[in-house]
Amino acid sequence: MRVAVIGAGVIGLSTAKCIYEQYHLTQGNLTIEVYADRFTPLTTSDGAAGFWQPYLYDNGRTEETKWNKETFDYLLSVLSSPESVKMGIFLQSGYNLCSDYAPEPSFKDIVLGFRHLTKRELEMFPGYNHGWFNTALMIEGKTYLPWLMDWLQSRGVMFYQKKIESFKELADAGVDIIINCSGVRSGDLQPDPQLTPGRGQIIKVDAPWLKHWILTHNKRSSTYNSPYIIPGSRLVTVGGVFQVGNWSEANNSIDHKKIWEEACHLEPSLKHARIVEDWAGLRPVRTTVRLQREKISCGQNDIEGEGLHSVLPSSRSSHTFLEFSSVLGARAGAGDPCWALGPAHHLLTPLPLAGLLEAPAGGLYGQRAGGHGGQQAAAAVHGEEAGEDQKRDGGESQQPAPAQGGHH
Amino acid sequence: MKRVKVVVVGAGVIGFSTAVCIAESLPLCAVTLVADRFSPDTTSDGAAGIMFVSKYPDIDLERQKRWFKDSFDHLLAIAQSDQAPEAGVMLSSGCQIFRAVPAETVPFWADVVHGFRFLTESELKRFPEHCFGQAFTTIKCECSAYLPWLEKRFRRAGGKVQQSHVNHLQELAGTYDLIVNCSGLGARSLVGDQQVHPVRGQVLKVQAPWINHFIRDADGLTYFYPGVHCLTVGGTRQEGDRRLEADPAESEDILRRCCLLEPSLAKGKVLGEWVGLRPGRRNPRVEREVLGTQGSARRVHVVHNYGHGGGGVTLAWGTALDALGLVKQIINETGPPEARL
Repeated sequence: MRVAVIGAGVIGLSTAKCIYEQYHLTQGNLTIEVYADRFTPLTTSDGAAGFWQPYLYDNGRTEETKWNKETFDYLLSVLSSPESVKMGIFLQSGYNLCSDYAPEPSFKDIVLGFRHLTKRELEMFPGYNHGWFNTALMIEGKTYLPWLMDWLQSRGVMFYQKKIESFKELADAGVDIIINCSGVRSGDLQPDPQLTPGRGQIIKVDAPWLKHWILTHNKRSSTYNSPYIIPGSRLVTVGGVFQVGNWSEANNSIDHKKIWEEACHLEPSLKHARIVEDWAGLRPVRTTVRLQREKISCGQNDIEGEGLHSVLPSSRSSHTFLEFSSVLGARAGAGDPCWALGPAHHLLTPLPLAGLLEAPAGGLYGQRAGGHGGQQAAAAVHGEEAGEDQKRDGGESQQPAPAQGGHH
Repeated sequence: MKRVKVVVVGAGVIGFSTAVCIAESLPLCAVTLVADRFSPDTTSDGAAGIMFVSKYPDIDLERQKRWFKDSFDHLLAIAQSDQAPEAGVMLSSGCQIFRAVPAETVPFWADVVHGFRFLTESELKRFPEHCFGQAFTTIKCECSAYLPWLEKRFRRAGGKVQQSHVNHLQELAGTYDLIVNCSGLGARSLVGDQQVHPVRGQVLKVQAPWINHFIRDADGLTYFYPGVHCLTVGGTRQEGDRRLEADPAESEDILRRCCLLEPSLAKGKVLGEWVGLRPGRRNPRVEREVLGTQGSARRVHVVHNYGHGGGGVTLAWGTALDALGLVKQIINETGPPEARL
């Protein structure tokens, strides 16, 4: 079985790892290929601070909170392994500051040591009179991505630097399953009006005395459009802006000025810190995470009839890179198979008409421990816009509609 | 009017903190700081500098609370200012863990540090040999940066600094009107205080930037404190031991004990070892005294501020303020220098 993953950011690489872990023993001739035009250190994941925290509220999208939890728990389990330092994963505590009262966040039961900030703590942050303290995880892309690539390469996963122009291109080449983890530029592959860039710009600063992250939440500005300071293992990431629809990856001086002034106001000790560099990246923003299976026929190929293509991609915003890796159960506890968790279960379920995936006796989930059965069934039923069957006539490929939100 | 000539003996964190307090608050004083050793060669320099203290047995609890609070407030203001990096002051979160539930589960400083709480059952699971713990956010003050920063402040307030060794406080009586004794371990010989004794501590400096939280075993022997550039990993408490050289076997043992609490420490890079002799005493001596001088009727007023053991950095500012109060008292009582006995 030939699986192709499009995208080599944290989503693509985590997905490849999960597929390998889950299926390499049970699927004969499983090969995994990763296609991307950008690899570490040039992906969006590399520039991100690498801080595990979802948006404050899931607004009823409880599956996202579930994915977030699975990711957090997985990363936490990795902490006690000897690999954790090489993976770029570590604990860090800090402050979520709100200008006014706000309800507790959806992640409060996921993180460690969640509590409200005391009056005296809030005195440190004039203008903020409510907030929380907790311990969360850092997962630094510039370390984690190379680690993932090494892991995959040593297990025979092939990498190709190539911009894939269409799913058909891969289907024609004989790929059986495509996993689309192409992030913000997924529109180039298939139009998605819900997908748009959420441009961010950050300043990397040398300020090693800072050991806590600080995130602010202003009702006036949207999330990540107000200051945040996130220390990393070497430099501190200072932000932020969140500019919907802005495709520019160039650094902007006006943004720099705003970010720096607001951050210094929030954390006066930054005033004389040495600025190392600016960076701008495009968060792949979407109304909801798109985790969805799709069938695309690929005409006259070795594959007869319909191919089974799993379309799995665009995350909702930068931090959901991590939410997302939980989708394919980026969880590799000792002895655990890697789960295709939650809705991702249905991705790899053979469709009634697909003859491609040969389900071993007992189904694909023959190795799965009891508890997830109900979960899988539930996932198949709830909320999932399980792939609209898009049949294209053999031989002809429909041109995809032009991507929305063109490049500026 | 002639200024009151004050000399502060000692250039550790107590000496400079006290000197700064006096020079900044009392412009009528001409303050000189005299010491034989300066940063980076003082006991304060190698100390982790984490604000944390155990109760002293004989000092009024309200006074100890005030010392802690005054120091905390002072350092917190620096941490929140643009001076923080130069002064080597930073916020630090972590926990203290106990092998047995202590008689006093809530220490007297719990309401001064930030966010004090007990560790939950699940948090304690990671420490199978410990059954109780406290989490909080406190302040770390690194003297290798803080002392030079204090010296700058001292000089800006008109203070003078002099390097020389003092054998007896009385030597200074001819030149100065008032002596402030912050000589730490040196007080044993300087003023003949037999209560002062060394408590040797050995630590390692380790680079492990992925560790952001401190952990301290309540026995005071096993701890690591993430600092600006590296972790201070310790330690030992050897009463009466004056060895200043690091002992490699002890370093190994320190690392072994700390790695039990945080296995990833083993991946850290050991940058070096350091040994300091804490100025141990049953209680810090913060009080005034009148010393007779040999061969003359002159007597000299002394304010003592020494013997803080392992709590020097933690209590420096608070005890310096107390010492300042005693200096003010003396000046008020004795009137202009000419009228002094």
